[in-house]
Amino acid sequence: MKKNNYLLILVSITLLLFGLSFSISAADYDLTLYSILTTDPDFSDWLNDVETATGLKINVIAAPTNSDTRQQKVTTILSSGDSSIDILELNDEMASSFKNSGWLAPLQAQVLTADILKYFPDGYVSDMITSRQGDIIGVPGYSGYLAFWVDQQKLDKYGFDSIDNKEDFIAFAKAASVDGNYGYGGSWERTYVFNEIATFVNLFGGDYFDWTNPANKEAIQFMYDMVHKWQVTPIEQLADKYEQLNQKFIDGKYAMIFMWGTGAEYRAANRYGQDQIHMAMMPEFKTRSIFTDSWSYVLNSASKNKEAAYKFLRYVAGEQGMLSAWDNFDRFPARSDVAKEIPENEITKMYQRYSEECIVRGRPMAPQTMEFITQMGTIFQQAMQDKITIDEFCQQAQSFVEQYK
Amino acid sequence: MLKSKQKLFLTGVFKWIIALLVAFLILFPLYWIFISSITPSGELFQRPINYLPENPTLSNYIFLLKNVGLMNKIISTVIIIGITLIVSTIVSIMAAYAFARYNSLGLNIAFLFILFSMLIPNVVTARPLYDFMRKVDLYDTYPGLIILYISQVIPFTVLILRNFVNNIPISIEEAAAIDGANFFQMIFNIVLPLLKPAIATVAITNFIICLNEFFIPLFYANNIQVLSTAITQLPLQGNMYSVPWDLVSAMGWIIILPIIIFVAVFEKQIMDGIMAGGVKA
Repeated sequence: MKKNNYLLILVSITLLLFGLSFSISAADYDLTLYSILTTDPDFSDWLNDVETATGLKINVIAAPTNSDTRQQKVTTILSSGDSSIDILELNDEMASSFKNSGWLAPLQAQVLTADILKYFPDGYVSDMITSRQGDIIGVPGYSGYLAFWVDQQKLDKYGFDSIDNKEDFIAFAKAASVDGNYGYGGSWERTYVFNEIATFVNLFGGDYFDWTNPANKEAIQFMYDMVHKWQVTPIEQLADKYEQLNQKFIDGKYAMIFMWGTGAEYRAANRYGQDQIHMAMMPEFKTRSIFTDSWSYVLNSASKNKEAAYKFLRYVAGEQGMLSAWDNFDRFPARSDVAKEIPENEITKMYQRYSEECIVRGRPMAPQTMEFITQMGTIFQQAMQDKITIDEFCQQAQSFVEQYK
Repeated sequence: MLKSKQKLFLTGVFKWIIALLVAFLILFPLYWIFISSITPSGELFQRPINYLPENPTLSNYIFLLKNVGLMNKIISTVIIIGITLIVSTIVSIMAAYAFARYNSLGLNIAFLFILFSMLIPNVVTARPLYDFMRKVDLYDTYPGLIILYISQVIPFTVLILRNFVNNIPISIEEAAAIDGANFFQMIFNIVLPLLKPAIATVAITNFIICLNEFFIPLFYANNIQVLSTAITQLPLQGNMYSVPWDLVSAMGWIIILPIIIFVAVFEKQIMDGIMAGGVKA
C-alpha cells in the first residue's frame, strides 16, 4: 500500500469522526428518559401515548435490566451530577439507596400534590419513596404484590377449599408433601430470601427492623420448622432463585409459593388458570399482610429540563398515564381510583382484594440495600443449616439492622 | 515392555482423550447456551435436565430481531470496531517500531507504562474518566468511544508487534539504507510488508476483544449502543425480578456467532501470529 493511501485512510477517519460527532450532538429533545422497558414490544405505543398527551419529544435510553449493572450505572449518573438524563426509572432497592442522597428532586410541590397523593398507597409512599427530610422523590409506575399462589390441582387432591390461616397453611403443606413433592416452595438464595423472611415476619405481626420482637423469632422458627420439623419445604432451595422456584412450581414439585408478577411464567407453560396455578388471598396468621413493590419515575436533581420533566411526571402520575401503562405493559395502576376503572379479571379482582383486605406494606429496606439484604440472607441460610441457632440469628439480625438502618 | 507400535497407539489414544475432553469443556457451554436459546421459558429449568428441548422454538431470536434494535447496534459496533482497528494498528506499528529499534531510558519507561496500563482494571479509572469524558464533551460520542477502545487494545498490540519487529533482522533495513531508502521508505516498503502476518493477527485478535468489550460502551455511552451491551437490555418477563434466560441465551449466541466464525476462518493466522510474536521480548 502506498503512503498516500495511508494518509487517505487517516483523513477519511478524521472526517468520519467529525461527522459522527456532529450527528449525535445535533439531536434535539425536550427530555431524556432512562427506562428498563425499552425492549418491551409495546414500549413504542406507550411512548407514543406519552408524547401525544404531553407534546414532549422524548429521547429514550435503554437501561440495563441486570440489577448490578444498572445500579452501577445509575449511581455514576446521579452522583456525578450528569444532567444528560432527566427522568430515571428506579426499583425499590435503588429508591431506598438514593432517596436521602439529594440526587433526586422533590416532587410533592409540582407533581404529587395532596389531591393526587391521596390515591397512592400510604405505606409504600412513606416506606419507599419519602426521604428523611419528608420529600417525596418518585412517582410509582404501578403496584405489584408479592402474592400468594396455589396449585388448585393439589388443593382439590388433598381436599382443601382455600388456605385462610396458619393452620390451613401447615395442614396443606403437610398433606402436599408426598411422593418427593413439597407443600411449600421458596427461593432462599441469600439475596432473594429477604422477601420471604419479611413476609413471614409480617404475617406473624413482627417488625423486620426489630429483632428483639418475639414475633420475628416466631417467624424464623416457623420457617425452620417447615424444613426440619414438618419437612414441608426442601433445604436444597437455599440455592434457588425465582427461575428455579417457578420451574418447580410449574412442574408440580410445590403446592404453594409467594411470587411477584401476574403469572406470565405459568401462562407460558400452560399451567395458569383457576383449575391450575392461580393467585389466592393471603392467609391470615396473626395478621394478613402483603408486600407491594413498584418502579418509580424519579427526577434527576441535575436535570436542566425540569419543566418538561414535571410535565412528564404529571402525566405518568395521572389517570391517563396509569391507564396507558396498564394497556401497554399490564402494570396494575398504583392509584386506587384508577385501579377501579380497569376491566375486571381474576388478577385485578385479587389485587383489589389485596389492597382492601390486607395490610399493604413497602418492603423494609436500608440505604445500603444490597449489603443489608445479603447479610440477612447469609445468616438465614446458616440458621436453616443448623450452623447457628434461631436466637443467634435474631441477635445477629438486630446488629445488622443497627449497622445498616 | 510395550512395543513401539503399541506405545504409539496408546499415545495417540491419550492425545485424543485429552483433545476430546478439552473440546467438550469448551464446546459444551456453547451448546448449552444454544439449547437454552431455543427452549421455551417454561422448560428451561426442568429436572431432570433435557439436553434436547421438547418443544424447540426460534421465538426468542424472532423477538430479538423485532424488539431490541439489532441493526442499529450492529452498525454502531461496526463503525466503532472498524475505526478502532485501523487507528490502533497504525499507531501501534509506529510505536512498536520505535520501541524495537531505538533504545533510551525514556522509551523503556514509556514501554513499561504501556504494559502497566494493561494491568489496571477498568473499574479503577471509571469514575474519573467518566467525569473527564463529560468535561471534554466526548461522553456518549463515537470519537470518545473509539478513543477508549483504542486505548484498550494498544498495549497488547504494541507488545505483539514489537516482538515481531525485533525478529526482523536489522540488516535488511541497513541494506535498504545503503541503497538510498529514506526512513519512510524503509517503514512502508521494507518493514510493513514483513509485518503483514503480525498485523493480520493483531487485527483479528483486537476484533474479538472489541466485540467482547462490555465495560466501555456500558459506562461511557447512553445513546450509542453496541451488541455487547444489548445482553443487559432484554425485557423482564413475568415479574421484574426474574432474568429472561431464554432471551439472554439467544442474545449471547447472536454476539458470539461472529466471533466463532472469525476464529474458525482465521484460526491459523491467529495461532501463527501469537506464537511468532511471543517467542521473545
